[in-house]
Amino acid sequence: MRQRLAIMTVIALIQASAFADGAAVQFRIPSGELNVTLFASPRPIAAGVIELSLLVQDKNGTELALGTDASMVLRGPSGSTVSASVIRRPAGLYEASVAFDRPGKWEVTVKLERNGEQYAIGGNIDVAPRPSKASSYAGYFAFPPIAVVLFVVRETLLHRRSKG
Amino acid sequence: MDPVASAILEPWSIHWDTIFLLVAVAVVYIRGWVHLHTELSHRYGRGKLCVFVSGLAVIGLALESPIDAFGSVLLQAHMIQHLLLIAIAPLLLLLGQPVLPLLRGLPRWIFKDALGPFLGAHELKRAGRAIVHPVFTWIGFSAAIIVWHLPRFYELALNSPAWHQVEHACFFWAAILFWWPVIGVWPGERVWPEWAMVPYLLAAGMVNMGLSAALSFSDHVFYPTYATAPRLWGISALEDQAAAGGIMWVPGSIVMLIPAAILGVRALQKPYAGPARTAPRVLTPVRPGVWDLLRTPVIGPVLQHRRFRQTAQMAMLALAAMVTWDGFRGSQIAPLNLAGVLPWIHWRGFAVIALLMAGNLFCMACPFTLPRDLARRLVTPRYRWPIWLRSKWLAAGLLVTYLWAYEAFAPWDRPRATAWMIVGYFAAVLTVDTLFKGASFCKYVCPIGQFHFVHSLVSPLRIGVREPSICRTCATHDCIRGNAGQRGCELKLFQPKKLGNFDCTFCLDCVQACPESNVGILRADQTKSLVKTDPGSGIGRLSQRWDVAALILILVFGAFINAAGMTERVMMWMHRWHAYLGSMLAVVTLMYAAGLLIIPAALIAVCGWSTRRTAHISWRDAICGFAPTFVPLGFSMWLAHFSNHLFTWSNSLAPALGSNWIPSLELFVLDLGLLVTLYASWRVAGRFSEIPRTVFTVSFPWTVLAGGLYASSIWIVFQPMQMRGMLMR
Repeated sequence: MRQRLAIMTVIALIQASAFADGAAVQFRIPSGELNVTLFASPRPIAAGVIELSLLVQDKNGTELALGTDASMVLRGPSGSTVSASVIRRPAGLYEASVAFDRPGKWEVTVKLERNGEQYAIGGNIDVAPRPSKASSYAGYFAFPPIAVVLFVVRETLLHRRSKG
Repeated sequence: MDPVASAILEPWSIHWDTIFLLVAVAVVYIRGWVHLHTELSHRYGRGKLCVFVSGLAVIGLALESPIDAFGSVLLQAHMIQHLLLIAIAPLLLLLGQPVLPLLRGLPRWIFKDALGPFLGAHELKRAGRAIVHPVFTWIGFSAAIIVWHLPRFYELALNSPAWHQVEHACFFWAAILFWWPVIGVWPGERVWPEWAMVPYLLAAGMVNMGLSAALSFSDHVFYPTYATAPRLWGISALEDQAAAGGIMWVPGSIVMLIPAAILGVRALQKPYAGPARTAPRVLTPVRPGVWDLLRTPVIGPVLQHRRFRQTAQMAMLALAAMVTWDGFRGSQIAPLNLAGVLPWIHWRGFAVIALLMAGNLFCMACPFTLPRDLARRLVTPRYRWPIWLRSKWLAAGLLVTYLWAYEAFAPWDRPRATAWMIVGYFAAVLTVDTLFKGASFCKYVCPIGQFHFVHSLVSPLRIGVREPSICRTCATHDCIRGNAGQRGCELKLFQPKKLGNFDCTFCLDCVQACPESNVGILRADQTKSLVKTDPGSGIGRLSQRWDVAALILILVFGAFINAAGMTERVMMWMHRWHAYLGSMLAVVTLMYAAGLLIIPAALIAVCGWSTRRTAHISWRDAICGFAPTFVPLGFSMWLAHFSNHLFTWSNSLAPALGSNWIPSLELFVLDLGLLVTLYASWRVAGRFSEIPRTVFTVSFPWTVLAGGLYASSIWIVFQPMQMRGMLMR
């Protein structure tokens, strides 16, 4: 039985790092003939530089809406406005790197122009506070105290065994 | 590529820490399996190895492949990921019967000393029995599956990476426990007979089927995130959900049904004998063989080759010549000059990593001793090193001078100064060693050597005797005296009485000299080297030597002050004092006098005084006994500092590696340094009392000091750094 606990500890170590990431969908909004999806990474969205990807499709969401010009304006919780520089990628996506300087609800306005028609689509992105260094590396700070506690338990067990 | 797939995949990246962890577990398992394959070949065939490693590969596939990235827009991808984590990976891992291989694969001290008391505790045994009871495991598994598939919780996991990890943890753990009684993990007893696992599996299959059917046949989308997600490859949300249900239903059921069928057939083929009631097996401990690096294939013969050391020294000498040449003749912009880069970034970084991974490899390949050996063919040394200088005091003084000069004159930023330092070093070696016999320079003078001697106390390898009984009958003592074909140890370390790595240059002269080939490169017990009170050949009792204690403490505090010197805050503070005093040299001198001598002396005096009072021992016992315990903490700071330079430089070459892992690595190293120091302090305090309360009281001041140094190391790691000697944007 004792070995079971040991093996589970090892498996717990494997599992502890069980995560992976990709871009997350922030919103998907239809507007007239177009369907706009905004992706963001890394996850979770926290204050700092975030990569935004914009996908513009037809209204059914099945085909790319080619020949569209896109721009993006973001309004922060303090009311400050940021114009994102949008780059068109070969895959049919539009990308922008945006510095979210403070946490809160950011309003994103996507402006599109296609075949002479203009569309403005708005959505929100919830930006979490930038994680502090202490929280980012909490595991490393927690490791020594946990090890010390385990050591104390070990010594107690040994002491009890030697008395018993 | 589909633009949605492109949007998902472009920011996707592999987490190397997960890969590293999986590889580490595989290495531990393989190490244990190699032993067991010889001892219990009928139980641990190659198949076990294959399935376990495949299980780890499946975890890697589930977590570190695009499957996870697609899971946010495609339910069926998410379902495949869960299937891998719930059904395939745990089943394969447990089929590898991992208990014994993983335990045997761990270093013996971890298994015996660290885990031993826990593994033997009755409370934990009872808890272990309870959590793998089939009733508990079945309920836990079913509950995890049902609860996490409720839209409220599934959505929670989809929208929060943290909850997503919790979800994965629940699935994986519940599955490990669920499959445990099915596989009958060995060595352990079955609580329920094998046939009872058939209804156990079928009942779980029914739960799975119910959920799958709900997903497959529903006419509305369960999870709103997928309803609004952009469509990948034109698959509608409802089609996606139906496909996910199918994946859960068919492969999910097959995974349950095949083991149920196998167990059912086996139950029908043999008469029921009830649950196994055999007494727990007592595994005969196997005496660990003496592992010797010199007996490993390829590396062993290479290291033992007579010309190996000379070749390594010649390579280092060539590098030293290049550095010196470039230092004198090349650009005086440090990052563009070999003298500004090789010694201060690469050599220091690789030297500390070598100490951590192997041992004192720098002294093994020391470039300074090769010209010395050549010079001794022309000039025979006539004198013995003066008795009054046969200690580490001179080296300690030189070390303080070096650390001060490093900050005061910034040789890392002045290639010509670095070149002069190298030339000066060669001159000093030649002068000392053509006048004095033996390795006087290495043992009593060389500050670089002292750095390596002290820190090799925590290295995993040592040069030692393979079989002590052979030495008992040896009359020639070639290892220290040498013979016609090979000189003996110049540092006067007699192998049978050698203790740890202190003063050992890893020159392998003793290996070459021993006529019985009884000297090897063996595993070292690092903690023992720090806490032992036995006398060692050529070094005496480390725990009684003031000079060694001083040397160690200079290196420990030197690690912190040297690293702090490159932080922005300390530099600003120095500039303020510069403006006040009018001389940067005075500021540096004051800083080093305070940080390397006065403050450490005061702190050590307070700790020593407290220990004297509580343990009723001498100043010497108190201070010299506890000083070596700080080597791991000091070394971890040097390692964090030097590896920071090395890895930051590496990242400047390969930015794709990213840099977030560097502080993580530094913190991990510092954590380990602190813990080993605390453990060693506890062991030293245990010399003075057997009562835990007294041991705690005796070690307490040293624990506080270690904690303070650790806190300062954390502060240093998180400060903005001046990356000396590097061209950084």
